[in-house]
Amino acid sequence: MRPIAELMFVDFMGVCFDQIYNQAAKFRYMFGGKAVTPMVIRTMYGAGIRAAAQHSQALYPIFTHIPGLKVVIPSNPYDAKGLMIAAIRDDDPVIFFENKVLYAVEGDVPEEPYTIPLGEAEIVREGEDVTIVAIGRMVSMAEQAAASLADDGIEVEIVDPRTTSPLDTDTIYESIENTGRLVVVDESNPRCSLASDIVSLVTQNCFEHLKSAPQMVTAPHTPPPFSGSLEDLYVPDPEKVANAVRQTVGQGVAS
Amino acid sequence: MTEAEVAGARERHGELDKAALLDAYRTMRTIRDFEERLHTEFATGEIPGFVHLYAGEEAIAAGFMAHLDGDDYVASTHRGHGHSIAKGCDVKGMMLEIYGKDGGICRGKGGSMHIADLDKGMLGANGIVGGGPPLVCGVGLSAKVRGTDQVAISFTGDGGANQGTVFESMNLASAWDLPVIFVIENNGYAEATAQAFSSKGIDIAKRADGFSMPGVVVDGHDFFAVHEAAGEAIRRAREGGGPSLIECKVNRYYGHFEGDAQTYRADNEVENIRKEKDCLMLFRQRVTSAGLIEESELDKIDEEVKNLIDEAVKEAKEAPEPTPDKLLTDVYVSY
Repeated sequence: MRPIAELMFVDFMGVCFDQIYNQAAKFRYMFGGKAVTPMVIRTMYGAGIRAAAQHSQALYPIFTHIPGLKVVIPSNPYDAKGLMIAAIRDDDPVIFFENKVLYAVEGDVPEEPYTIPLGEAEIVREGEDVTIVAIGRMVSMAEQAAASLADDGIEVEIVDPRTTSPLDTDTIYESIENTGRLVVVDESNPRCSLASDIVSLVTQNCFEHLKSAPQMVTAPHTPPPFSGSLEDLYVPDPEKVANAVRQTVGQGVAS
Repeated sequence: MTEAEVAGARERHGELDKAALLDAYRTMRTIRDFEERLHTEFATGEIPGFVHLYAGEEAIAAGFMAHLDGDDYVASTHRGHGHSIAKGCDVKGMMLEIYGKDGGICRGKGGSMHIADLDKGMLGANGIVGGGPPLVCGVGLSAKVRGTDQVAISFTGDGGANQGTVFESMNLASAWDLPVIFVIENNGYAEATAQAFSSKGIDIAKRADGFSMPGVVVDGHDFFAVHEAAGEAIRRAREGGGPSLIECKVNRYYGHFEGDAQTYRADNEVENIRKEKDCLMLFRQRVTSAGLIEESELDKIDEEVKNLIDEAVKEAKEAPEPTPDKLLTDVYVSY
């Protein structure tokens, strides 16, 4: 059996978290490599539809933190299909994060089955000045920022990790070796986030290549607000991403 | 309120004198108009987020809350407008909240699914199914430790009744004789799943046996039946007799949420219920045919409520949005 469970909003994971992080995630290791738990849990994440604090969180850092779980966060329709088939065929428990705003995005998807390996990042855009690592829906924010920055002569390279566990650090490090500058765009809250994790990894492993301090663009350290006027400020947007990029090239703009 | 006033107020509860009947009708009518109006306004696209309407279930909120005081506690569900109104939350503040405005009852930060007023004992609507029962165990234990006669009521749907949190809470409340009432509002559907698909077809109230507490089934369309069952359970809880489970069989007039196409419901299902079992209609028939209240007195309440809802919507539409600095406030008490 390769069960696929759809758990709606990731915020609801709290009521079944033990089965995921103490049971499914641990079986293989605890049982000396004798167990397989080939399940996929689909879940929706992210703010932007006025769904308030218990239906809008981006909780993938919590799951990325736990050894034994694989975490997939597609940014576009083509990747969603290839990563889903790979997740189903994978023998480990996979949490498949789907940004609810991206359901409205259209893109070409082949009819036939294909897979995208878990743990392989994609270079979404090539550039030599600054590396942006962007997670899920934030890839499109990075692409919009990159387009406006190109007008100002700043060439951005965008890395979409596609899976945060395993994380393709090789691709990220190679990009940093070329650009020497890093911005991570992560829709989750900033503390103990993917952004802080990737900044930490790059600082530790690519320190000699860095030309400026890495920057994080994240939601603030607050729950997602309900009111639209506040929620629009909560989610990272292209302007905030562009400002962070300018910061890394010494063109600081007050954000 | 002085202690004597609280005690006096409590003595009056349970007596369905004319004033109490008029109050109950006003509560139900206010909930109905609030929800019907939201149904209309949501269709215009002006209301953000998710809205889950309580229309059809008003007799339950009114029947239970008629026995409560301001310092008693209620924990609600995602379908929380009715409980909030019946527990005394400000109707205009609620409407502003649903429109996401700064003057809302939660300052626009919570919205429809998180309406709360702790000063009124309203511990919140809740975005998590099965989220309420553990909360009432907490406040129930607090009341017991402090030696008050406060009670705490959680409302849960038939879907929520199957959550582990509900079973754990019933067990704990029973083991510790907490002054808690678990109300199951069984409207037949957990979102789009009919009850027969999610549990074996026995009354949810029978689960009470397993926790050594009383469990009864009540017609949730009948204010008087709800009021009577609620009174007995609340009295027992106040006197230290421990928790009860009350299953109210009822129907919701609208979908799980506004925008729900309701393909899982039969044609005319709701129309027939409205014709035969509407709680406001049943209440009106009963009190007027018994000669307790004149039709004109109820009509007057209808008019007053209509004006209140009109004003609330108007004010909500015109009210200012929260300012950007509010994004970062209220995460902690101290920073």
